[in-house]
Parts: sequence; C-alpha cells; structure tokens
Amino acid sequence: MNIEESKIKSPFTVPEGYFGKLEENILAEVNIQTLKSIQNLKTPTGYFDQLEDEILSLAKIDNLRKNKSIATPKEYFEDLESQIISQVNIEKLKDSAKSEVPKAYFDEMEDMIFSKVKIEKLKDLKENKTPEGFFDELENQILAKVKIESLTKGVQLSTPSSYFDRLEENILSQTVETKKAKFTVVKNKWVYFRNAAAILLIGTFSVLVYKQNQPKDEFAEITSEEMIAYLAEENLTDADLSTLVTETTPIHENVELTEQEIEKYLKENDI
Amino acid sequence: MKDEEIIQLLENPENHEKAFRGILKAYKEKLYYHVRKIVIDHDDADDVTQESFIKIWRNLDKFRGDSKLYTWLYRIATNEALTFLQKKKKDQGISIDDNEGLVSHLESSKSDTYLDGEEIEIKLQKALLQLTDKQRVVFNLKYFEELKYEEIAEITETSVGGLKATYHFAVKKIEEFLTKN
Repeated sequence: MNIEESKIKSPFTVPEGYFGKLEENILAEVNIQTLKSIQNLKTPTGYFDQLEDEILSLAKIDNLRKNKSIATPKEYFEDLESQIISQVNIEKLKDSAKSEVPKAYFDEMEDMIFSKVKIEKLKDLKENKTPEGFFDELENQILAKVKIESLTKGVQLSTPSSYFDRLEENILSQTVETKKAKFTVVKNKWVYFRNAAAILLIGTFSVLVYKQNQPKDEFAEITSEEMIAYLAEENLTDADLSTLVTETTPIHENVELTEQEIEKYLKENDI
Repeated sequence: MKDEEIIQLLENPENHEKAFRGILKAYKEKLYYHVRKIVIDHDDADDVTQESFIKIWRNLDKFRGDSKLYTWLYRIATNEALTFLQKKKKDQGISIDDNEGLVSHLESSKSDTYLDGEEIEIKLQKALLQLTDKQRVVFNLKYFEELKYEEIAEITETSVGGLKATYHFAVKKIEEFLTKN
C-alpha cells in the first residue's frame, strides 16, 4: 500500500462553533494576562524617588530611637574614667611585681638540677648508706642460693639400662622399618576413614578420566588440590562419604598407603 | 490578515494586540489540528492550543522575523503538545514512547462526534501511533501540512537530512502496519 499516493485525510473533527469559542477564550485569557501584568508592573510617577526618601527617613528615626535607648546614669562617664585609671594602675603594679629572670635561665635550670642530683648520689655512696639489716639479709640470701645449687648438682636423673638403645629401636620399628600394609579401615578410627575416603575419591575420578581417554575432558584438567578443595567445600556427611566409598570399592586395590602416609598427606594439605 | 501584515505590526509593540488578533484568526484552526494529531484527544488539544496561543502572546516581542511566522507558531505549538504528552505519560507512569493509551483512546472515540472519518483514516492514525511522538510530528507536518523539509527543520529544530530519514522510515513503518492490519 502506498500511503503517499492515497493521500488519506485526518479523521479529526471539532464541535460546531468550536473555533469561534476558542478565539473568545484565548482573547479573554490574554486580557486577563495583560491586566495582571499591568497591575504587577505599573508604579505611580516618582514612586521610586519617594520610596528612597521614605527609607532614609525611616533609617534616621531608627537611629534616634537607638540613641535614646542607650542613655547612661548621671556622672556615669566621670566614674568610668576613674575606674579605668585605677584598673590601669593595678595592672602596672602587677607587672612590676613579676620577678625577672636572666636570659635562658630556665634552659640552664634543668642542667643544674640534674647535676645536683648526681652530687647527692655520690655523697650517698661515700657514706655507704644501706638500709637497716641489709647485710644480714644479704648473707641469708647468699647461703640459701648456695644450698639450692648444691642440691641441684647432687640429683642424677637415671634411666633403665640400655633405655636409649631400645628407644631408638622402637621409634625406627614404628616409622622407617614399618612394612607398607594395604589400607584397611579401622573401626575406631572413623576420622581417618573419612579423610582417606576423600583421597580415594580423587583417585577414582582420575582413573575414570584416564580410562575414558578424552583429552579435552574438563575433569582431566582438575588438579587433586582442586578436587580436595571441592570435597572440603561440599560438606559431605560421613554417611555420604561412606556411600561413595562403597560405590568405589574396587579402586581400593589400586591404593597402597600406610596410615602414616595418609596422616602425613592430610597434615601437609591441611585437611 | 496575511503573514506579512502581521510581521509588520509586530515591529511596533503598540500594535502587538492587533497582530495577535490577526495570528489568532489565521492560525487557530491550523494549530488546533496540528496539536490534535499529536495529543489525539479533543479536550487535551483544546487545552494545549489555548496554552500555545497564550505563549505566543507572551513572546510576541521575541519574534525577530529571522524565521517565517508560521514556522515560529508551529514550533511553539509542537513544543507545547510534546511537553503536554510527556507530562501526561509521566503522570500515568508509562514510557515516553508508549502510545497504547492514545491507541485505546482512538478506539473508544470511534462513536465520538469529534472523530468522523473513514475506516482507513482511523487506521492511519492507529498506524501513526506505532511511531515515536517526534516521528509522528515529522510525518504529520510533511504528509498532512505538506510542508517542505526545510520548514519542518525550522519547526523541529533538526537537520534536513535527519528529517528525510525519519519521514521515510515512518512511511515504511506505516505501510507495513496498514498491510498487516
């Protein structure tokens, strides 16, 4: 459809005699506006000159009123003068009473006091002044210390024969020489079981990813640390973990870890 | 009274009233219909037209004669109408480009005595309401008033190039609407 060729008209109409009324309304409104503006703007001739005069005369009247209101008692100013003079004399006397000190007196005063204190100390030393009964107490203290020393020297902490040899053997047997046993769940070590389960899960994921042989698999890019972090954040319950472990039981055979190794790993990774 | 006579009267402030009466006589219908096509409702158009003429009266001394009288008058009326619509939409809490209210008003005014046109004329108005208010102004001035782009550019205070693009876009959109409906 080509509207430019069709030349469609506007459908709008107005009530009969509308434009006559519109004109009347507008003119009436214009007249009101004109009257308003005339009322607002017109001032009588010489209005502003008169206004200035009126303001100035009002200011004068106001000044006169103010002068009247601050009237003083009789002979006030005579008394004021004598009061001021006597106050000045008092201030002069105060100034003269102030003791003068030599220049830099207060700077030197500090040094003088310190040197005096030192002299007093030296005097005390010369006179060997000690508190009453000082030397008696000192003797007692020295004797007590000597006794303690002698007692300490006399005490010998003994150990059973070859104790240290056996201790060494015990430690080695529990650490370095311990055979690597297959991981087993100990009933009363549920915490170890839970932590171990987390590690087993990591192993499970890794094996699965490897078996799938998908080079661009997103799981393949997840590091063990990230997986641990994931498991830590997931807040899995013991029941969840035990269920997961049950589901991945065959993987246990691939893992050979001692309890010490698991503990060490968990400590290192702050799990 | 012709535009030239009015402009001559406007040169002297004492003749402003006479000039204004001349403007009112010559342009009341033109400006009313121009405003009506923007605001659609007769009562709204009535208010806006009166406001426009009051504004014209107040600003007669600002007319310098460097633009044509009718473009100056249309500019004032256009701005008044667009400002009115913006305020109305804001008061109703609807978007500036949303003319759904005007469309429904057009629908409900079919039996109105102030809307007397053939089906296609009303359809064209509905199609126009698919445009933005400013696009409608451009289309109305070009299509109904048959003004030149230069004159429309003076009224809308935009570039001629931009107006041409706006008008052609408006025509295309209206034709699509009329074909579909």
